[in-house]
Amino acid sequence: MKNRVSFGMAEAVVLLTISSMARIFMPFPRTLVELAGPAAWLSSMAGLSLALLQVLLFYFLLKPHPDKNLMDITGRALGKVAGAGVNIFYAIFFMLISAEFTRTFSETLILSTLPRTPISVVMTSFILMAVMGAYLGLETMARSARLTYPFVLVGISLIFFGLIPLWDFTNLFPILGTGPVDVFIKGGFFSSAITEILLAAVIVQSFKGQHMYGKIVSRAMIMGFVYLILLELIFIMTVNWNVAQESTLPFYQLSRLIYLGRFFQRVESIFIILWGFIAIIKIALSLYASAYVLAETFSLPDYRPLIMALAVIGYSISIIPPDLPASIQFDKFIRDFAFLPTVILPAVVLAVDRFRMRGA
Amino acid sequence: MIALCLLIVLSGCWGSRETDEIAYVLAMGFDIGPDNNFLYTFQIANPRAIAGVTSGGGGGGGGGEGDKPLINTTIVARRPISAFNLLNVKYSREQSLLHTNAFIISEEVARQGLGPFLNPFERFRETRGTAFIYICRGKARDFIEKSQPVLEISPGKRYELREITSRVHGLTPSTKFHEFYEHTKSDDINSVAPLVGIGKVKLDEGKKPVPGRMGDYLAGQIPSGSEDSQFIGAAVFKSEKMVGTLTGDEVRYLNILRGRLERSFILVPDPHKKGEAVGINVSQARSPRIKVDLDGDNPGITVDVYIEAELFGISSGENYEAPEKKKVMEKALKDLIKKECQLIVNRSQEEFNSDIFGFGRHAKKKFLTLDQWRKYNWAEAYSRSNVAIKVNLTIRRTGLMLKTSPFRD
Repeated sequence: MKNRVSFGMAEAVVLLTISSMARIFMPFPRTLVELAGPAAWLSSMAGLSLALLQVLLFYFLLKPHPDKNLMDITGRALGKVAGAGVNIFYAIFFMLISAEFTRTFSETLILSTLPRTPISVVMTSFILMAVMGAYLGLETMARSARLTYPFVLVGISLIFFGLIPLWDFTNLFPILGTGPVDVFIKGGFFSSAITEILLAAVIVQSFKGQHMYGKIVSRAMIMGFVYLILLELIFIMTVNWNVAQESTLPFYQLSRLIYLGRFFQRVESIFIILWGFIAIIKIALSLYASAYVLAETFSLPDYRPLIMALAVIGYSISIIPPDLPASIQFDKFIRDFAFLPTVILPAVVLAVDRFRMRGA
Repeated sequence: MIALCLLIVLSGCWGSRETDEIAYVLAMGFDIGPDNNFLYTFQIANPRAIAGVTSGGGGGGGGGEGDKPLINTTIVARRPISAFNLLNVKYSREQSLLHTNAFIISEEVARQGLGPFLNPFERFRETRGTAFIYICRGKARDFIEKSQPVLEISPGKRYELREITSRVHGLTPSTKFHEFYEHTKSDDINSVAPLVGIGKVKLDEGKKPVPGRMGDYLAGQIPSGSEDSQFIGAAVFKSEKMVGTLTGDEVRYLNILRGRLERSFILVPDPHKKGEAVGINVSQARSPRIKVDLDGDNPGITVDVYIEAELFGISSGENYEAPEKKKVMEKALKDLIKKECQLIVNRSQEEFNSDIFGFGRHAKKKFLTLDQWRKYNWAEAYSRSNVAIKVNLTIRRTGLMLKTSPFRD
């Protein structure tokens, strides 16, 4: 399958940024506070450093093959059978991400705004919108992300800076929180588990030249992590880490605390709009990546016939966790396990590829 | 096309509630009830009366409950959410806590501990962290029933306006639910909440104000001709239990030490003429600078407060606007503020054993990890710390008079 779509650097950076920042709207930031205490923001900084190292790993993997994407390189390095096996594993990983985000976003939407709506209805809405996004393709998603990004930026800034009266810098102390091992090592690895670096290697041919990979993905990572670092800082300064770790939805809780006089309060509706848009982009992009990897692996002419089937499988997986805590555990399981497809397998492919190139 | 179809099909079909199907609870009261239960009083906005629709057929003054802007109802239950559920049995409209902006808790309940009430409200999606907490001297139910809004058309506005007014007099703290909840779980600061009560002291009875102590009252103690609602003073907490009270004057100095004083009026004994007083409006020029030294056996805390003042009234006729006399006045005011701040710090250490000023927030900067901080045990160390207060004060303005001339004999 030849990839015919391509878009500019700004679109690519924004698409990956929006997809990677989806986790700040979920219970993820509180898990980081639980792990690192008041130093959760330092964990995010450590996570950024590790994510940039991950970008470097993929950059070295892609560099010698200017017209190939991750699936081509994997197939070439590991051989047809093993390569296809690894590529199918990537496709399953993306589908699991899509399933997990569908469930968690639906649960959190019910918690915050739609308490009486059955979860099946919310999940079906999310998955149908994601199917539509994935079907329309990468270019549509990238351009809508670019178009919406200024509104996302303004909305998030409004929520962040509307809390200035509640900031207390002393909440950031003791500066090393639960200790350097928890903060920098455990917290760093936990927050660096990010799929967009892998995803960018899948869609790299849309970047108007492979040499753009490093520039685009590193910028997207920096932007995505800046949002996470700012959220952790503001969350802890506003709520204090002790209470922050109790919160199910940090971003939502922060938006509910804005009170700038009698006429500027209850602004969480802004948050819900941002949340919905980012959730759909994240789920659609993961679904697209899953279908695209499978289509490439089996040399199919088009990825679109796979979307509906993958969406149904993803939907079925997403309803397996019996409750919200179980779905959060599912998220944690995927994050712990994400190290395999995002670091270990690409590192193995890189090593084998280099070995073969030297042999040749 | 799918999006368009979803817009039509999912237009709030499950979660939608029309505004005329809901009744909004504006305030909730908590009292001790019979057999380990509690009395929960709900103050509900009556849209009929607020909109001006009365049952009197145009004559007004129908006098039924339906004509009052606020409807109060009390329910006996073990926990607040179960009381809230029972409330739905009493009225035709579904009750909502989305617009509840005041939790009024009786002193008796507060002294037993608020843990069982705080957690459900932090968890429940309808209650908001921006609602205000008040501790009521006496029964919360009585307070809610007797204190009717006089100047506001919108009953929901009342508690928000109270908060704004507290910034003008500085005699009550302003405490929102989220802050109160956070402080009850913190190991570096303890909570305070404003006191409210119904005035029961007649005009010719009770404590008489003296210069330097004009707001030396708890809520309900201000001499008053009627049973009016009074918002003055504060309840002091250690964790989630109330351990004492502060008068309005003490709250002013609490606000100064916490960096929360916007404005307050102080009557200072005249340094030159005994029995006379000088009225001064004070405000905080900047937040206090707090330094904590943990090197010795006992923690050493130094607090620099920065006050700006404006002369309001000089009843003695002394010319305190003159530079040399202004210095005398500044010294008198400085000494008063320092003495009162020291007194309230001593009370917090000896009587309450509760760091209500948040000095612990500055102490924890000295530690690298949470383990080290917890081992230090600030809750215990605070009561033996030495607190030194320095007041930096300038009388910046003298009002619309630059000189006070004496009256002719």
